[in-house]
Amino acid sequence: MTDQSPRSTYGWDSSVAGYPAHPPLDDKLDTRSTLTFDPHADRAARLARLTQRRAGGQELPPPGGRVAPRRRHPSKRSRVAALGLSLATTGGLTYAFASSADAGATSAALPGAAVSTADSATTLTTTSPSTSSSSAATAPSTTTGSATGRTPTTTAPTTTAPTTSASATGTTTVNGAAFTNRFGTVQVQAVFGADGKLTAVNVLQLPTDRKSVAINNRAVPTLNSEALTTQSAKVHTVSGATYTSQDYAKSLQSAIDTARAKGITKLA
Amino acid sequence: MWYLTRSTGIVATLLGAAALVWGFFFSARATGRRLRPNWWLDLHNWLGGLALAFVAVHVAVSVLDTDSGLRLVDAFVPGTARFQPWAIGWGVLATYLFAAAVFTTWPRRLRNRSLWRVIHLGSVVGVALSMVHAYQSGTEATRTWFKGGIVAASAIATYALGLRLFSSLGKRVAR
Repeated sequence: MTDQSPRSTYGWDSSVAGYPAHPPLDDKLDTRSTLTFDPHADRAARLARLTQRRAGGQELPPPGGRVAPRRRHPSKRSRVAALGLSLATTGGLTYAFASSADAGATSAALPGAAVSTADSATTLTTTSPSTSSSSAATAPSTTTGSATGRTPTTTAPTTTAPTTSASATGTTTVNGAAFTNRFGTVQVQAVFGADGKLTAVNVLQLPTDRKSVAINNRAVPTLNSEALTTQSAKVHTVSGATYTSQDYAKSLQSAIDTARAKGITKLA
Repeated sequence: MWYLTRSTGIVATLLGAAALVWGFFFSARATGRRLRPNWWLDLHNWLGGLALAFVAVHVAVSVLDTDSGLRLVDAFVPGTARFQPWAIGWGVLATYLFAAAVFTTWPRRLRNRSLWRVIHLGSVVGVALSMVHAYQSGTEATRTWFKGGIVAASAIATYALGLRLFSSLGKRVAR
């Protein structure tokens, strides 16, 4: 008797005698004898098992009915291997990310003299990792060698001494200290006019990973604007840019403190 | 927690691609002689469920990480994230497609075979969207090894898809 029902989901030919119209592929049936693509071998195996049961006095399955099968997992070992491999990969990647972050942090502490070579008019734009090398005037290892420049840092903040330079136009630029957080290093440069007022704030260093770039592109203009408006480093934290806002404020405050100590400004 | 978010995301993408490849090889009956087809199917089911589990961990850790800026609503409604809304949104859609494919098969498969098939094939779109999500919002997206991994996974998945398509075309021609 052939079954003329249409092909099953998996395209098997269900016209072979002994196969049901739709081969069961869920776990309701014992999958030992199915899915071998050799219907004759499966039928022979099934008949052999029935013969054994009859000979052993075991209860035979009801005619036309199905015995409730034992659930089987043919790929049990492979399942365990896949689970173990996934967990190991997750753990390994997590450890690798954390280690590279720590490595970036230990090399992020730079002497202040290196910082002062930055162009006083430099404004950092970090829309792509390669442009972060424009801040290489300060050359922290977290931003140069852009292959590794995207690694964040996770150690306690490291600072560098601020530096000062004066220009012929009467403006004075003071580089603030660099502060490092889990995402990277933040450093700003304050520009004071002849009257001691804060006329501009330039960002010298920012984290360069893609997420931080997107966040900072939104946050830095707001922070700059507020600093110039308030003429101080007391800026509000920009939502979603907590670390940047905090380190921006600290770096700007260090620049203002240095300028005040040198008599350049009277800002607090 | 941020590191865990990144690593679980990468592993979830790889598991989803592996489940896809296993499924296509099985349905194309390109299972070879050494391993039985039920082994392929069983592993395909397992990899799919494992991928969904890792996606769930990835989403949970992302939301719990206070520095990520991700809210609970951003993880469930695509396009509502405050930054990179659609980079996150593709991931949300991919999660829904994965979940639909898994829960219409386990613990019990949908009775309507045509509908089941359509929903199950939606997981292919889910894998593609997960790779787009990984590329657009992943921290490692510009790294060579990451790009290479995505290209390799896409190539293998495309090969498996081609195998499946050509096997069904061959059968139709043979009829």
